[in-house]
Parts: sequence; structure tokens; C-alpha cells
Amino acid sequence: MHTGVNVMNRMGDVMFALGEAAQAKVRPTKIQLQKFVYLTDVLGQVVGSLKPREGHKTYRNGPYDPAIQNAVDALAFRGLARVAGAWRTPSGHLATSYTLAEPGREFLQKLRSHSAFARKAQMAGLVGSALCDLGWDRIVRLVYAEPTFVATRPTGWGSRLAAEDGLTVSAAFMVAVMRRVAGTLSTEHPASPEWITDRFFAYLNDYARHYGSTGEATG
Amino acid sequence: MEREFRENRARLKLLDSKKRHIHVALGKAENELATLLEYDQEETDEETEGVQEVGTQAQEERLPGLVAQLNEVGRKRADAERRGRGATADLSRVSAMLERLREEVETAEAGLVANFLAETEREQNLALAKLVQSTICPACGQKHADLADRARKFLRDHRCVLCGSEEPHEANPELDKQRGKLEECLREQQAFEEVVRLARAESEGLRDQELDLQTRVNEIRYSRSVVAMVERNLPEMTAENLKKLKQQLADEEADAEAQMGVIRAKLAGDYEDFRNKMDARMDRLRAAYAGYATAFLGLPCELDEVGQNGLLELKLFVPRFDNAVRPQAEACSEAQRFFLDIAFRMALIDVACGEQGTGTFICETPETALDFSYVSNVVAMFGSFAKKRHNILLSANIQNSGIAEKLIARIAKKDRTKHIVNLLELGRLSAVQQAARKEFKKIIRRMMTARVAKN
Repeated sequence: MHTGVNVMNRMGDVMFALGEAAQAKVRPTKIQLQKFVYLTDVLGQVVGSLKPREGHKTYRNGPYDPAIQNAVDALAFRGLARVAGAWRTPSGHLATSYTLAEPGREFLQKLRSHSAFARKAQMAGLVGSALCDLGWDRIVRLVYAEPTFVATRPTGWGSRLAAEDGLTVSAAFMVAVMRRVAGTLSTEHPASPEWITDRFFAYLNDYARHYGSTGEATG
Repeated sequence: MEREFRENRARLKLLDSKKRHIHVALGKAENELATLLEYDQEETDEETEGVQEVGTQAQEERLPGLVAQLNEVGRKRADAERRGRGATADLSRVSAMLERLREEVETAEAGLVANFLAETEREQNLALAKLVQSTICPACGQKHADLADRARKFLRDHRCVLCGSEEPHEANPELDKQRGKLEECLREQQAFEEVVRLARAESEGLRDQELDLQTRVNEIRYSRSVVAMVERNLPEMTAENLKKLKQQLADEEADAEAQMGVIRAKLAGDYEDFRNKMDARMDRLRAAYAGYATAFLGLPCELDEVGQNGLLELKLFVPRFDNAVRPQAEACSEAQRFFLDIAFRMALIDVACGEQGTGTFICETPETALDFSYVSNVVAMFGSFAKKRHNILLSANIQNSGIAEKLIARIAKKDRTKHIVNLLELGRLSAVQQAARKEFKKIIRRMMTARVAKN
């Protein structure tokens, strides 16, 4: 599969992320966009979708997928996203924040109204809603508490984050445990995507509060 | 892993000892009944024997129950392992199918995104659509017919209108169907994973239980002397009883032998695995050391091992270069000692960090031990370490064409300040250093502005 497929799909993911950010009146930075898409990727299985085969890897500022930044840059160039701000971080790097441009809203509307993207839209909505409650500014800390990343981070940069592998410490494993627990609580009402996402974020929040330390930039 | 290995060794030792006792008793029972009567007579404590006997009898009564439990647990463990293997095979099959579907769905979705994107660009008259429709360059805003012709040709071939890279384009009418299949596969995969997880947890728990029961059975079986048991029964011994006893002893010996065989095979496997891993680690250490040491010396240098003639049979690592092993420090020059030691430390960091990990090496650079000709080699050595994404913190004196200057020259000019802590600015300078301040500044300026050297 050529990289064009990855970047094109990431354009869709970025539009959903920017759409959720706009609803929360947030202009996400490039790192926050990476983190948002990562969270929708790892939780995608909850609504029956899978993260891309060539997805995030461990890197300097946590999970990173270069296709996402390439997608954001292309969308900004093509007039669908807008660079809302740019500044130098204390470490001297250039930080950028993004927002939807007007044509981008049209594009997002087309994606949202097509059945093929219903699951992605649903997942982005669930993650967006969780972040509205917990605060977008906590997104980096929440991702640093995500089980797959916690387990893979010590192996260094460039390691693939296999969030879908249910036989190792991963988001999939955690979701499976949640489903089992939900099944024991009520056999009539199996765990809904909303219930799992809510519990998953509650776990990330608790973990981040007790053990969380990113030591990374947020810009 | 080590604890398990030691426990297994202890079990093997116990079984071996008991088996030898049984074997001796068996031989004696067969050949010379009378010698059993004399055996161990003097060491028997009459007072405690009665108490022990009651305890032993009670334990013996529990033995059949324990053996039955052991068999049951073994059967359940084998069953759980069989289920786990079956589910793993199913999981592999489903995962392969899922991968294929995933690729198809990803490609189809990318095609849809590309179509919506192009549609939006046309409707909103965005820059790339203007290039195709109105021949306006998206970069300079001027009309450019050639550029537009090329863009139209790319568009017809389903390529990026600017660079001509292949783009996903076709909306797949089967996408909903494929998505449905993918979801079904995903559910199957999750179900098999659940079975594998449960089977693994169950078999691990049962294996622990089995080992515990086996230990208890062995403790009872071998809790008293084999010979004492024979002694006690002797007054009532008939030929039939003696045959039974002999058969019982033979069965126990065979059972101990079988258990020992299993433990021996596991220990041999574990040890082989350990040796292989150690060998692989040593090979990595040798290769890493050879790389660094050779970079420094400029001629092949490898690690060799020599005995140390001490109390322990530990070998020492020493360098070998110029066809000579250098077992003593005096066999190397001062500079070679310093820098081959650094090479060894960096090789250890490499091995400890594995394939992807990174480490940090803090080093007081003994550059005064070097003559000019070796400076570039040292820089190459440190450079190859840093290239593996390790961090390296070196202290260096300011010298004309010194290590610091050559190392800094390998960094992009704009990034150089980020890599340096200038202690001449932060520390308290001696009177001599104060006097040479101008010279220092001149050398530092040259270092910071020098052309980037090739790595």
C-alpha cells in the first residue's frame, strides 16, 4: 500500500479531530492533533474499526505518525485547514495551532454524512466529548497514561504501538477486560461504546494523576 | 525465570537422592533379605519412631487422594493447553484474513476521502481546482498553461496534480460489505484472543498447582527411609508380600525416573536457551567493541578472553590488535588504555540498550593523552556512538584542532549552541585562563562557525 493511502486517510482523521476541537472551541497544536488521532485509533475497535496498519510509533513527544502532520500540512496548503497561530517553544521549536477553514467544514460535512465514515465520526465524537469533560490541555498526559504506550515507551523511539494486540499489554487488552467486567455486571446490556470510552478515559485520568509525567513538550 | 530454574534443580536433586535410596533398597530386597534386618538398626530412635510412624501413616492415607488430585490437575492442564493451541491457530487464521480486509478497507476509504476532497475543492474553487480549471499557479497566482496541462494530465491518470504521485481514487461500491466482513472478523479475533488469554491463565495456574501437588506427593512418598519400611514389615513378610514390596519399589523408582526425565529435559532446555542468549549477547558486545576500538586505533582490534588465575574461573576481556593479545595494562600505551576502556564502556551501553534503546555516556575526555594523529579517530568513535541515538556528555578542554572542535563540526551550525555548555562562561576562571580569555573566544568562535564536516 502506497503512502498516499495513509496520508489521504489521515486527512479524514484530521478533519474529524479539527471538527471536534472546533466544537470545544479549541485550536489544537500539532502535538494535540497527533494525540487526538492516536486516541481515536486505539479506541476504534470499540466501534468496530481498526487503526491503520502503518500507524503511530514511539517518538520524541509520545506517539507519532508522520502521515498525520503531512496530512495537516497538505490540508492547510489546499485551503481546508487554517494555521491559527505559530510561536517558538522554550526549546526553540516552532509550534503551530490549527483550525478548520470554511471549505474544510464543507469537506467534513461530506465525510460525516457518508455511511463509510460513520464509525470514525462516532469515535471522534466520543473522544471529543471525553476531552471536553477532562480538558483538551490534558490530552498529552492522558496519552502518556494509555496502556500500549506505557508498555512500549521503555523500548525507545521508533517502536510500533500495537494497540490492537489483545494478547499483550495494550488498549485492546484493557477494552477486553472492560467488556468482560461489563458482562458480569449485566448480561442483558453488554458494554456500549459510550460506556467503554467513559471508563477508559476515567482510567487514563486516574493513571495520569497518580503516575503521569510526560517530561515532553505540549506545543 | 532464575527462581523457577533453581526450584526445578532442587526438585531434581531431591528426586535423584530418593531414587538412589529406592534403588539400593530394591537391590537389597532382591538379593539379601537378611542384610535389611541389620540396616540402620543403631540409628533408629525408639521414642520418636512411634510418633513419626503415626504421622507417616496419616500422611500415607492422604497419598492416594493427592495422587488422584495430581492426575486430575495434569489432565486439566493438558486440556487447557490444547484449547490454547487450538485458539492460537484460529487466531492466526482470522488475523491473516483481517489484515487483508484492513488493507482493502483502508484503500477504499482513502479513495472516498480523495473524491470528497476533489469535489470540495471544485465547489469552493480552491487553489488546486483553480490550477486545473483556470490554469492559475497555486504558488504565484499567475496563469501558467504548461503547468495546468501537466496538472490535467496527472488528474486524468489519478495522480497528484502537482507532483504526479499516485493517488487513491476509486470509490469501492463493495466498501460497506467489506466493512461488515471486517467487523465480523474483528469480533472473531477478539473472541479467540479471549479464549487464548483464559486458556493461558488457566494452564499457568494449573501448572503451579500441579507442581505443588507433585512436591507434596514426593514429600510423603519419600518422607521415611525405604529400608525402615522394609524392616517394619519383615516379621510378617511372605514371598507374596515380598514380591509386592519389590514391585512397589520398582514402580516408585520408575516414577522418580520419569519425573526426573521431565525436569532434566526442562532444565536442559532452559540452560540451552540461557547459553544461546548469552552467546548472542557476547557476539553483540564483541561486534560493538570491535567497531569502536577499530575506529579509534585505525587498525582491527577485537576483544579476547584470558584466564585470571584467581579463585574464580572468570575470564577477563582484553584487547587484541596488531596480532597480539594485550593481557596487561602495560601492553598498551596510555592513550590506548584510556580510549580502549571508553570503547568497551560504549560497547556495554550498546548491548544493554538492545536494538532500539538509547543510553547516556558521561565521559571525561583524556585528550591530552593523544597526539594529533588520533584526534580524528576518537571523533569518529564518539560519532558512531552518537549516531546510534545515544546521548553523550563529554568534557573537553579548549584546544586548537582538539576533539571538541572536530566533534562540534559534525553538528549543523544552527544547532551547535544547543549541544554545548560553555563552562568558561559559567565557571570561575583561574588567573591563567582569565589572561587567555581572548584566545578562548577566538577558538570558540571558530568552532561555532566552522563548516559542517561530513559524518
